[in-house]
Amino acid sequence: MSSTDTETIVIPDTVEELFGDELFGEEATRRQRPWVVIVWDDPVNLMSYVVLVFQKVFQYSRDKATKLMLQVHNEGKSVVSHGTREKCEGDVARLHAHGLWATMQRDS
Amino acid sequence: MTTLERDDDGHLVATLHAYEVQAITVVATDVRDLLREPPAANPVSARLFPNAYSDPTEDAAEREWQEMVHPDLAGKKIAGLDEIVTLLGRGRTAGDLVRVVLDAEQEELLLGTVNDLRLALGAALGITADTDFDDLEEGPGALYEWLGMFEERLVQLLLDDFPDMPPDDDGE
Repeated sequence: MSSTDTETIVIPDTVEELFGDELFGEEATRRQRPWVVIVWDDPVNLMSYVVLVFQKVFQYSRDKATKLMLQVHNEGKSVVSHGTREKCEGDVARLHAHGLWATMQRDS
Repeated sequence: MTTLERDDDGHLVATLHAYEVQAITVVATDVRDLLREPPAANPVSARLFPNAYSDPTEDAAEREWQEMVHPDLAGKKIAGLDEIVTLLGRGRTAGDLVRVVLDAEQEELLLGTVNDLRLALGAALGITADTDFDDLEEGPGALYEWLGMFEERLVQLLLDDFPDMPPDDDGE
């Protein structure tokens, strides 16, 4: 902080202090987080079918597609892609077109 | 006996019993009619058109997304069901069996349609991870199980043909 004899001028040390919550608050952090697409386990879709869809929709290798499918099956869900809101909206639409139960949310 | 195989030209050839064709046709027609209703109007539409956003406070984005995606998706699914019903209806009949030959595009359509029919039957029958298949209603339950075996065979054929991506090229 600097000061003169006549008055005290407080100069913020950082931009953070100046703009505070607007740029660096919780809400701002939330807005900057990328989106993720989650596929949820469902009792109908075949495991083999889910692997095929991951390969088709995302061009993932058989290994990666299988790993993601097993995560959905064993843990109830799996993050299958991430990116901007627009990209994730497109991914969700393509997964729904193939009958998978998918949703999108901010990365946590 | 129901079979699904590739002929020498690489075409998928399905040989079904006439009563299987009949059952698929009846259910496909029912599902098509349900899909003409608004999303969430019935359990079948609700399952085939789930929400995109996990977070209910994103309801404005959800509405906008649904308006953009649903009419087109429902239209495609309805057209696909119609095409498969037409294709099966044109199959060559020999005694109790119906033989249908599909091109590459029709294979994809058949897979998508069979999967949609299973999802629809699953939703209508209330199938969960704990469902005992012996407790299912006889007709629809048997069709659901039969479609599952049929789809498993179809997926294996398509997986065999699907080019595998090298692990380094998968974007991660």
